[in-house]
Parts: sequence; C-alpha cells; structure tokens
Amino acid sequence: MERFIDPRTLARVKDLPLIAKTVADGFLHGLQQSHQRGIGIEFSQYRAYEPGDPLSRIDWKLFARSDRYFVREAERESEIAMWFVLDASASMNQASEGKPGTWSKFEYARHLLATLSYIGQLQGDHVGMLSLSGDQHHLLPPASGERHWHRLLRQLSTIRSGDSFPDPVLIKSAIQRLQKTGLIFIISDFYQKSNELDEFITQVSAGRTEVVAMHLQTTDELRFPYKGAIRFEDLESGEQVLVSAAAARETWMEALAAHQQELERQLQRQQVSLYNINIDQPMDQALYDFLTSRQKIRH
Amino acid sequence: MPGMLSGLSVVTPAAWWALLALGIPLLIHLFSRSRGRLVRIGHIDLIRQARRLQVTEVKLTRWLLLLLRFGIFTLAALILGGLATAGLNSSDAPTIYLTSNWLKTSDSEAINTVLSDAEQTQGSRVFLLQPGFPQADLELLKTSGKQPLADVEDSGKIWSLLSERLSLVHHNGKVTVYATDHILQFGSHKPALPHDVDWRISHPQHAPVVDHGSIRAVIVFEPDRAADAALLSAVLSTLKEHRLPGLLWESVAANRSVELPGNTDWLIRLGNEVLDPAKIAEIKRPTVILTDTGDGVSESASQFVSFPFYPFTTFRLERFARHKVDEDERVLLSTEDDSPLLHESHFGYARIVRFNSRFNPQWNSLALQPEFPELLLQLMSDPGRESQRFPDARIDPANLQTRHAISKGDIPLPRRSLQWLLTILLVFLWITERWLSERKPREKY
Repeated sequence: MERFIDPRTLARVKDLPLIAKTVADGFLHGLQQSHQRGIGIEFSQYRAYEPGDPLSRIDWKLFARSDRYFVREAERESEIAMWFVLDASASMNQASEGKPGTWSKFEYARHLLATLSYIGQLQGDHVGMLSLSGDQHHLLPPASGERHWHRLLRQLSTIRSGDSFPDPVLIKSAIQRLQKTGLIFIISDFYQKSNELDEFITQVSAGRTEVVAMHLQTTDELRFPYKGAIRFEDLESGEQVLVSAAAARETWMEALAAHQQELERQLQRQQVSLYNINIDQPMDQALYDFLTSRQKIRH
Repeated sequence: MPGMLSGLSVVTPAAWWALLALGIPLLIHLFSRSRGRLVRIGHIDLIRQARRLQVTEVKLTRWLLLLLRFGIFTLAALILGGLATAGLNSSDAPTIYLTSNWLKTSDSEAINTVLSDAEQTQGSRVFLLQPGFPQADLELLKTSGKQPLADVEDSGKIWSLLSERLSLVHHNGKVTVYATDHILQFGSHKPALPHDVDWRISHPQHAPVVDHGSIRAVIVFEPDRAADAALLSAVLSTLKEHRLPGLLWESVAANRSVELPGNTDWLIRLGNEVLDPAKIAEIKRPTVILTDTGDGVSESASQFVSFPFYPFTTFRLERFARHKVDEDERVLLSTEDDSPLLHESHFGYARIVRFNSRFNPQWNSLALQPEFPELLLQLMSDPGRESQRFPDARIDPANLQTRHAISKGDIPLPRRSLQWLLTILLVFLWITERWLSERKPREKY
C-alpha cells in the first residue's frame, strides 16, 4: 500500500464511510467494515439505544419485554462494485511549477485511487479498476478483500500515462462491465479532444450505476501565475502556442470558467456528481471534504 | 564618427572583465528567454481561446526586449568602466585664441595680420582667452582694432584657462595662441597641455621675469653602475615630462673629477663607496641624497616587498645588503625579516635616503614599476615647495602617466566622465523595457 497511501491522509479518512448514493436509495446497506452493521436484512445483534439513532430502528417488542431501548443491527456482505476509472492520458502529466516534488495530476490520481479503494475494501465492497490511455487499458475486475486490493496496487504501479483518452467504441467491452450496479469514480482532468469523455460517461452512467467525477486541477491552471512570453505546449499533441502571459491571463480565466460550466452542465444532465480537487492542496483535506459530503447522502 | 569614438576611453578597464564574466550567463539567459518559457499544459484549446499575440509580434517584442536588456547591460558596463570622453565638444576647424594682454599691446597691423590669417584658413574661428571664451568680434576688431576685454592679466590664469578650454573642447584642428611673452614667466615649468599649441609670442618688453627655480639633480655613479644610472635617468625623464617640467639633471661618472654644483637639489649617488660625512657637511643648502647600497656586501633574497605609500603594489627583491639603522633614522621599507631596505636620516642640510639594494633589474624590480617615478618624487621632493609649483594648473595628476619613454603624443587628454549621461540613458532604457514587457498587447482579430 505503501507507495500510494499517505499515512496522514489515511489516518484522517479511514474511518469515514465511502457511501454510495445507491446505498442510501436502499439498494445497498453496508456502512462500516467488511461486515457492516446497520439497517439490513440479516439480523446481527442488538445494541443499546444511543441518542441520535432513528426511532424507527428501536425494537419495540424487545422494549415491551425488557423495558429497555435496543436497536436492531443487521449484518451482510456488500454487493456493491466500486469501479475506479483512471484517466491515464498524457494531459494528466500536468503539474504546478515552482515547487520541487509537486505531484502531477496522474500521480495525485494514483494516490487518490489507492486511498479510496482502501476505504472501499475496508467496507467489504468490491473494488475494481479501469485505466485508460490511448489504445492501452488496464482492467482489474472488482473483487473484495485485502489481497485483491494489493493486486490493484501492483497494477496501479505499472500504469504509465501517455497518449489521449480512448474512443469509447474501442473500449466497449470494458464499459459493459461497468454498467452493472455499482459506484464508479472517474478520476480525470476532463480535458478531451472531441467528446470522448462525455460519451464514456453517458455510457457508464446508464443503468443503476452512480458515477462520481473527480475533477483534478492544478493551482497554476486556476490562477494562471505566468509572466512574460510563455510557450505553452500541449501534453498530448505537442502543439505549441506562444503567448504573452499578461495578455492571455484574462481570457484564460474566462475560458477556464466556461470549460468548468460546460463540464458541470454536462455532468448534471447525466446525473453525475462532480468534485473539483486542487491537487496542490493536501489530499487528506480534499478526501475528508469529499467523504463527509458523501455522508450527507445517507440522511 | 570615428573621430568621436577616438576621444572615448574608460577609466577602469578592469571592470570590463568582471562584467564580461557576469555577462556571459546573463546573455545566455536573455537569449533563452527570447524564445519564451516552455510550460506544458493539458489542454491547448484554452490557450487558443485566450487573447493571444501574433507570433511574429511576440517575437518582435522579444527581440526588442532582448536588445533593450543587452543595451542596459552594456550601459551598466560602460558606467562601471567609467566611459569618458576627451571633451563634450569637438572642433575640426583651426582655432585661434587671443590673450587680453596681446590685444591690449598689439597695434592694428598686428591684429589685421591675425585676422587675415584667420580668413585665409577656411572655417577658422577666433576666440578670446578669457572666462567664458567669447568669440572675437572680428568686425569690431577690424574697425577699432580693439574689443572690450575682461582684465585677465595673470599668466597663470591664462594658462589655466587654456588648459580648461583644451580640456572641454577636443580640437582636431590646429590651435594657435597669440600671447605676449607674459606667458614665458612659467619658464620651463609649463605644465603639459592636453593639445599641442602653436605659440605666437610678441612684445618681450611685457614679460616680467619670474623664476620659480628649477630642481637640479645630479646622478653620480661608479663605472659598474652605468646601467643603474641610465635607468634612473629614464625615470627622471618621465618625471620631467609629466610632473616636473623644470627638472634638470646630469649623470656624472664617479671617476671623473667633477665639482658638485652648488645649487644641486637632488644628489643621486650610485656606488659601493660609503658616503663621506665630511663631504656631506660641506653642503650648505637643503639637498636630498639618494644612495644605494654602499659596502657591496649583499645577500640573495627572493621575496616580494610592498611599496611604501602604495600598499597594494609590490616589487620583486632578489638581492639586498643588510644595514643597521641608527635610532634617529626612519625606516620606510623593510624586508620580510625586518631588515631595513629604505631608510632616511638627516645630516646637516642633507636628507639622506638610503636604499640597501641597487636600482638594477637583477637586484630588484623597483625601478621598473610604473609607480616608481611617483615614489621617487615623494622621496626626493620638498612637499612645501612642490605645492607652490603649479597653483593654477588644472592638470589632474590622475591623468598623468608614469611610464618610461613616453612620447608627447601619449599624453592623455583630460577626460569628461559620461557616467551621468549614461545613467540617464540606462534609466530610460530600463523604463522602456519594463513598459514593453508588461504592456497589454493588442488582441488578435
């Protein structure tokens, strides 16, 4: 785990449940650990009532017998499949300048994926991974257990970024596997040549899947801190454009805002949750915010 | 243009080397910057949508900025190097200067001769050698033969005025000065002027004879010291050329029976024979005696010794003789092991400066150092007397060269620093550079 897990990040977020919206909707019910206790079908145990527990979970029959409040807990194996789709295109190599050791989007994505999948496997969910770049894609079918998670990490370490996001037509079989009920995380910068990412999301969000888009951005993208003449080079195509930073800044910000709005609009239409993450901010904070926001879905 | 540039010089050429070392990485940086810094991004479309310059315009701006920055760097180098010019003005035409004394004492015939000389030479101009250097009113001179004059009679002032004028205006043409022999009061003490002057002297009856007195030196050498004497003679020649125009000297072989002139100021004695105190006692006027090692017993040494008065200059010492100094003697220079090398004492009217080595390159390099003429002057001269020598001459000693065998053409012209002008230019270039690099360029339509 080791390489892709930051202990500080893990310490902060490992106890937070990774809740799928589908769980809240009643399809899945697991919340904690591999053997989750909560509202379920198969009885597990009683426990004493604690303030905050919904009144509906109190076993009134037992109350009648014992004159005490007990809450009924269930135990079941999770059946949810958590898919992590990693955009491994060359554009993910973008990183902020200036600070040595700064992660690129791709590096950040790998750490994020490792941490989320760790939480998933702790919950007993099945975790799988699909990495996409050009005509190469790595697919690890979902499974549960720590051994499987280690397999995911090994595969994750072999993935190299390059090329561009593939045409969904070329990865039709992989998409079909994602279309089963589950939770899909797409970790990407959401830059696309035409509309390959839109099509991909459209296809995978069909059916009973919940799709979460994790949009990675750098501080340099958001603030455009450049000065003087800058020769921008596209990481995927290699195309270069020479601009004056002072002249380009204003409209860069406008273009970026337009791009962001368009992305939000598209994802909203496909009922995809969007989380913007600045990769130059600490990952533990970003994950904490993300997981606590997900927790609200339950209530 | 070449004429203009020929007048330029730098005061501290050594600054160029430091700036060259600084300039190489700077130029590499500037050249690389002119191509634009490379930034890799994920999506070039965002840049395409952004307001952007035409590439050619960016390149043009970059090149302009590069030139401006290179200009700033060059100006900084010139400022630090101390770029100076021989004068802010230059005159290619022949120039005639008239002293007020000459005008007052000249008749119409003499004045008309000058005017006809001026008219014969195309473009020649006539000025009065007075403060402000007014141009002579030729019509007035023709009609009345006179022109209103400021009262500038003192020849010393005339000399300093001429020196100032020749410093300010770089004359490419011939300079002729019409003066009375008033000017001759300087005698052989005329300080060097920054330009050759064709003197037209008249009216000897107006020349008051003022004798500031010449320094007379005698070099007495033993036969084996002829080379040393020749070297010192060259040094005295340099001094005469640049610092003591009135210096007179003669070299005398010690085997010749020569009476020491009674008005000798400096006696330079080179030989093994020890100075005879009885002969020194016969000296009845202030005299400085410079003598080298006297007993011929010397030892080898290999060391560098710092100059007296010039702490950052050293000379190589190969041989010297050890001498003990008396308590009343002042040691000016010592070897590494504190053996006195140069010391002075007083005996009667004489001030005796003893050098415990020889003025010979095989013994040491002292006499070959460029600073040696100045050192010799300090050792030998009477400061009180020298300070009165040229009270009005505005010759900057820094411009005097202390080299051997210097020709008159090598006398440097007084320089006017261009540093202020260059600094203003540098600030202007810097503001332009800032404006150009930060300006908001036009949109691409």
